[in-house]
Amino acid sequence: MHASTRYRKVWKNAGSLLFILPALLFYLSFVLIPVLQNVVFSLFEWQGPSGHFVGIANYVRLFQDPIFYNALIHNVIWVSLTLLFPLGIGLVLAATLVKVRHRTSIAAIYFVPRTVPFVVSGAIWGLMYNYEIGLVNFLLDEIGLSSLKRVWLADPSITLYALNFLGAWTFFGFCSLILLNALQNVDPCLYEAAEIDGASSFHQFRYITIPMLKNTIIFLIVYSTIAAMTFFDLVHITTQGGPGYATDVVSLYIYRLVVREGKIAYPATISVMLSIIILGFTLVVIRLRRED
Amino acid sequence: MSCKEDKMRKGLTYLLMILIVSSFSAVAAHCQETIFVHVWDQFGYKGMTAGAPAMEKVVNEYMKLHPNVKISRTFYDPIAMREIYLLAIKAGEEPDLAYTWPQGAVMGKLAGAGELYPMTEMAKEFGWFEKLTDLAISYCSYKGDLYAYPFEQDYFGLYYNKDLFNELGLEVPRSYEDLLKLRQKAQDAGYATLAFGNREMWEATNVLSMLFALVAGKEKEEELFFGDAKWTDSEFVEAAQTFRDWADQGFFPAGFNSLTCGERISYFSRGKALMELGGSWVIEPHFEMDFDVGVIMFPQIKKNLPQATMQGVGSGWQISADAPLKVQKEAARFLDLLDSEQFMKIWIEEGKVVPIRKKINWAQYDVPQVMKTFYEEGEKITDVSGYDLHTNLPESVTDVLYRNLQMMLGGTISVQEFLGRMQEAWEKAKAAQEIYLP
Repeated sequence: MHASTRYRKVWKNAGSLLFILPALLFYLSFVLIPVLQNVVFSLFEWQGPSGHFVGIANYVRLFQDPIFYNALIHNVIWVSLTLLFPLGIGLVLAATLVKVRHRTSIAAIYFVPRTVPFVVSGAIWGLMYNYEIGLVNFLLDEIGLSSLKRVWLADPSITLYALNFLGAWTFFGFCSLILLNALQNVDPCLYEAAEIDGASSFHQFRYITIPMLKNTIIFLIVYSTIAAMTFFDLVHITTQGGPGYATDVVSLYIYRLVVREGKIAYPATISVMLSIIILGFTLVVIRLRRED
Repeated sequence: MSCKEDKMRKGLTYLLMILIVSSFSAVAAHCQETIFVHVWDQFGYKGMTAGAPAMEKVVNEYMKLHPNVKISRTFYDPIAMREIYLLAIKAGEEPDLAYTWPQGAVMGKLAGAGELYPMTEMAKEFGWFEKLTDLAISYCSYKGDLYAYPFEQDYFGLYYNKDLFNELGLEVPRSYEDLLKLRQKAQDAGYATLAFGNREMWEATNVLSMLFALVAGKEKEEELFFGDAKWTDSEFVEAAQTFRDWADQGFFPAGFNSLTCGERISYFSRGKALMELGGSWVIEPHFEMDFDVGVIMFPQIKKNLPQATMQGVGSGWQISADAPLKVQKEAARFLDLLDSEQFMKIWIEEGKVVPIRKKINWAQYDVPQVMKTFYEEGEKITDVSGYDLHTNLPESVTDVLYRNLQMMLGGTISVQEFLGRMQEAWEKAKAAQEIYLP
């Protein structure tokens, strides 16, 4: 390559770099450096402002901590249920709505719960789950299913699922709106051709809709997983992780250690581990998509 | 130049100098002496600590007396204040003066970290030690210095629905045996014996604190907190077992572990329970119920131990160590006015908040009878009453207490497992030198 051409190319790239520099500096200052700082914190033990290096001692403690494992299992259950229900319901809804007039307006109605702050939803659902005067038990009574009445927020065997239902209520509309948007971009000729070939609605859904939505579904899987692994506010408002540790999640555990107990190193260790888990999952999904 | 002219010139020069100096000092005085004090408090208009009307009067009076001081107030919900304040301290964004909770171990940790302004000298200057109770001073002290101003007297007792007792032809319990007998009668009539909720987890801690005082006794508690007694000692096992028995026998509403403090008060106010386990800090909602509310202290349980309750200093005033010295001193002077005899009547009658005093003459205050009774009865047993557990425990132990007590009451773990876990957490906290000593 001629020297002047190479010089022009470098100069052109330098110009582009200059444009992304403010964002890059912002990212470095408020994301990358704090993340690295967190990793450093996790290798020390802190007594007030001074710390001494302890190597991987905090990670060894983490692997022996039953409260962490318990919270992590709850996060994994939450991720699985989020992928199963809000995403599944959203997909079916989007596939149904795409054939309906005024579909965007209808989808917007489903989206409304997402616009309610989690703190407000949590407070309202806290009352709806009230054993004596709550709407949920009242409705069960009204439709003759009194035997299903439960103490929704105090029974360790069901409280996590009761909260997950609330989480699903806030999330399925978001999934359906995103998927509906993607579906509207699918060429209708594909469905017409399939109909001519005699494909049933189910086959159209299985062999056209899902493959055409693959990228959007992968985005939603990654997005939902990150949200579910780090969710905090709903649990904090409704049960604070209780009864006992029955709805404890990793973010809430970190919050308690930092805010209530004033710890630095150990919650930093948990945060690093949580980041590794989320990053690992995301990389696996991206890799699988590429291989596909 | 004549002598007269010379004198005039000198005179004018002096006058000019005086004018310049005085105008500079006026400007400087104005600039330097406007002191801003940022205050966070929990005084709203309803429910827990509904003292806003009184607080507003104190603030206005102080600013009238000290025109160079501007006090700005921010209200926070009492439950939320605990964490908001700790977060603010960590971020270095705390106010100059905050009314926050709990004292004891949490306050001690902040004081130990150099976050709080020591008030001992100010306390001596203003005579605070003479008017406050020893227990309150102890709860707000760390290594012999006062780091918080204890303000509100807390007692724990039993509110009862007078109308419901009359309707069912029942007597208000005078002994623990009477209270136990009430359960069956209440259940038969379709009512809960004791309104109680524990979703927020601190509520059961108050009840257990009271039971420790009644079943184990104050001395045994002191052996635990400041000596070598163990959580698994038989006295504490008995106290915890009593609590568990109440839950198992149906003294409480169904699903009590899912009821918040507000829902518990609502449950009682709807006439669903004969009595309610509650603190004096939620007295205000009990004035407006559709029925006549009475209050008693929980009856004596053990023959060898006196009737007692849990008494605490839930919230206290803390001055930031990072505030400028003149602001710290102004904040302390403000506290002195806030808790002066001049405002005592306003706090009690308009704020429904009872400042801490060694002795209060209730005859001079125009307040509902239930309020007078609560404090008069509480005062009678002050000397033998016990500690507020979550004030004395470090946060790492409090978290274990909150969660395991909730599980123990729900039947997920046994009393022995609960106390075993408490002992384990206590030993860890001891090893980490987290135990609070006033």
